[in-house]
Amino acid sequence: MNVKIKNIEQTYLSVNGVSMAYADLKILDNLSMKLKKGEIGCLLGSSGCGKTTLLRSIAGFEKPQQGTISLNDQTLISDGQFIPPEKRGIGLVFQDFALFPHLTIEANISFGLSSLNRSERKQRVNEMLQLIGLEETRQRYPHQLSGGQQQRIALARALAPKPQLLLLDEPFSSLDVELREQLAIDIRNILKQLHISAIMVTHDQNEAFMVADKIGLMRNGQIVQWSTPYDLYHKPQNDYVAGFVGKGSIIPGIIIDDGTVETVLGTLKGHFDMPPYCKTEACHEYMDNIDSYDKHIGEGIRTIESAIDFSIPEPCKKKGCEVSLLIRPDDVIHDDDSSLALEITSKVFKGDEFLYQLKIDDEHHLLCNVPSHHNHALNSKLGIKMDVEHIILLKKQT
Amino acid sequence: MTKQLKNLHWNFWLIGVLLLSLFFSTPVLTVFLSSVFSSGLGESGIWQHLLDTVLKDYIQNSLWLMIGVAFGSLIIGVSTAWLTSVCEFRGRRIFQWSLLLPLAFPAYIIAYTYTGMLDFAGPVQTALRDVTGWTARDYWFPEIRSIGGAIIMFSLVLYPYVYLLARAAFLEQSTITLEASRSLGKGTWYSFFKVALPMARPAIIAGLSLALMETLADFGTVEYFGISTFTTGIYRTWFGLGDSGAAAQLSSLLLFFVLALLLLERWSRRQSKFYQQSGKKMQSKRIVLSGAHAWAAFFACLLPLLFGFLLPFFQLSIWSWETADEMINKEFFILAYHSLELALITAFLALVVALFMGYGKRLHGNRLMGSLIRMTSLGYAVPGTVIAVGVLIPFTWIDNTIDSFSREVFDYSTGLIFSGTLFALVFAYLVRFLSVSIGTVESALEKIKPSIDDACRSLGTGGFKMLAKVHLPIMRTSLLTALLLVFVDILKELPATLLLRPFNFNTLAVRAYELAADERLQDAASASIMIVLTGILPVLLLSYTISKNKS
Repeated sequence: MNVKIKNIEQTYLSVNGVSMAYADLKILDNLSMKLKKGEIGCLLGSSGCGKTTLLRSIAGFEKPQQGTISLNDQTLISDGQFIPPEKRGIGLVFQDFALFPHLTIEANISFGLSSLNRSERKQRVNEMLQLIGLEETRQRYPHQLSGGQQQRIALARALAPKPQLLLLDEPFSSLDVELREQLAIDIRNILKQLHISAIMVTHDQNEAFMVADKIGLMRNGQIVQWSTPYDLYHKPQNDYVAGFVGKGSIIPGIIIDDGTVETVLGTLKGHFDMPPYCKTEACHEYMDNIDSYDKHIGEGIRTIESAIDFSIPEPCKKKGCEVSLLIRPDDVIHDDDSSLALEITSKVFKGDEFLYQLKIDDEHHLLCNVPSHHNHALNSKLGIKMDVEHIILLKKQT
Repeated sequence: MTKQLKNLHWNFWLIGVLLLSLFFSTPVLTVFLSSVFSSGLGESGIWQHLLDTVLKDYIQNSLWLMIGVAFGSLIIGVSTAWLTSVCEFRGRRIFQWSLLLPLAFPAYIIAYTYTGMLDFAGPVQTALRDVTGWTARDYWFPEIRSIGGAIIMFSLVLYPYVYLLARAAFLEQSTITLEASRSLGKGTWYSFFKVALPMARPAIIAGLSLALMETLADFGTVEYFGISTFTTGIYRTWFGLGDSGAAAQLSSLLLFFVLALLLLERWSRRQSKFYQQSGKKMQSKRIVLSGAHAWAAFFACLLPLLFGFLLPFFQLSIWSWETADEMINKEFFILAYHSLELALITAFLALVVALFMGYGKRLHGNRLMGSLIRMTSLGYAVPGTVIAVGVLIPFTWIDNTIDSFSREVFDYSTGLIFSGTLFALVFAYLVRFLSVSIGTVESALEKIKPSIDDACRSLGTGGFKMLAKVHLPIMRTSLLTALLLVFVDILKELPATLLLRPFNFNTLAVRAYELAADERLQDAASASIMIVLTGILPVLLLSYTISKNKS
């Protein structure tokens, strides 16, 4: 069943049915996405999923064979129409920063400002340097700056001509791990302050979570799920998303009731959407009706999603449906007094916490994060209790 | 193929590169075509005559030269490369760059110098007679103007090609490989012959084929030593017998030899990629030599440097000092100025063409463009004599056509517009040396990350403006290097200059050749030393790069 999200705000960037292939290899496969003004989108995926190609297509460095891309009501590419990158007004921040090595920082930032006069240019460079807090580097050359500084200069250079859209290609990957977090937060603040629409490409979900308003998880040239970081983590649409984002373990369960699942760890209560394969025929009919009813009102505010959230109507419950549950490490809480205690089969020290793997039975394990002063020995029993707010149901694996 | 051609994006750059590479390939194509056609026509009996008489000598002499030079440059090049890259002994640091100095000597100049030193009136034999009291009839002295002498001359100035590539290969071998061999109980010598040498073999062969190409291309030395080879044969057939068809046929035969070497070089370079290893590089732990071993290593490195550079350079300095009053005059300065000006302008043209091709490839690179550029780069393998023949044939034809047309229509003789002017000479230089500037420009462009281009375009600047504002400033050092390398190569060039120079136009190289031909070897020194001194510049540059890479 299609979930229809009604547009309340105007779409700013729109990618429609874009396909691209080298020889027989499909890089982008009929891909569509939309971004609103001021929103920060993020394309997340492992290498080879097509995220960089999509970014470069939006920038104009790649030419998709099919589909259209438009930005702010201007068509960038469609049949027979192609605006070259230098005419698009899209800013880019590169993985290796790509600062011009022969120019000073000031000249780098003012490189894209040829339409302004001298004093305007100077003023704009000042604003930018102030924004990123590197005024003292004005006369230096890129190689005299640290990686983190170069990164911020690259951002300033891309933002200086006031681009309609900013694209960031793995902007943190050539930086030290310690720097990444702070820069990610800085960049988000700057973009929000300027109300700039942006798309970032990354393979690192933590970066995506920190920076993005919306994340598109990509696989095989398609976007598998486009949603807020919170929903991506807590409401993954399928087992690929669940497996890619965050850690977790999968245990079997049986749906007893709306919001209740029976598992080997006991009865869990929480929110979940009834999976399609657990719905009765009558339910499908009902859902179709509610859909057309929804259209009929035409106010475009109520969505199917919100309809499900209210309550699952009686005909939709198919009791005894077998499912798999994804249990996140943060769903499991350490409690020495709990009657439920499992054997520790492995543990990884992570500084502030331990990640314990607990044995349920020969086939099933559970992951659990515990503050690091709770140092329990391997093969000893760890008392836990379940605190599941969002129950993530995946199709029963056979 | 036709489908591929249809899909090609025919833009300004591709058409430009196509036209340029066709233009610069005309000499080689002409040589092949005219040799095919004239053999069919059999217009004169000269080719048959050559076939019956001298051709066997040409082939024999060229083969002996190649075998001898291969032997000589391998022994000198590999041993010095091994010593300076793997061992540690007194003087190693100086030898590692100064062993390249003989490259500054064109073979014909070192040949003139040694002939002057070793002939009857020269300093060596005079000293011999003074010491022993012998007269001319009392002793035998080896004749330098022989095939053996030529082999020694070539080996002394061409071994640096082998040295350079072998040294790079030895340095790239991981210490671990050699240590593994030694830990298995094998000695240093065994490890050298069974491990290090086989691994460096592709690189050594590549260096050797370059040295042999130079040997085949040489004209000045063999001409002066009176050895009949292809290049002297082509010259004589053209000037003495006036048969362009036979000259073209000799040229294309020579090209087959060159082609074999070229293929050998390409193949070796491809092979050498498989032998490159990652991991720890040699440098850190050298084999420290002491006592007799250290002295042996010291002399093994000193001798090539001494005979290949120091001694002849010293002799040239003395002669130019002695003849300065007579030779360094207004005429000499005009001559030097002409040479330098011509070399500089041509080097600049080569750079512009190379930039167009390299930049076109970067912007719209495709396979056709890549092959066209590679085809243009083949000129370095073609001997100057062959290029001269390939330039003269079409240009003379064009000149004569224009002239007769003009005489018929306007009753005015235009003369030789192309073949009789500097145009032909500059064109020939470009054909021969474009590859040097193309190579330098391409590697400089490769060093600029593609994301720099993307960054530039996303900031609203593309095309020629991007080249001017971003690429050229970043590449300026490499561009100067390209300019210098071509400049020096042109200054040294002899055979094409000799065949193509306009009437009454002289260069330093031609002047040295003429004076030597008149047996005025001492008088030739001032022109020679100018060429050698400028030739030192790129060698120093190369040495600097080597020592910089190390640190």
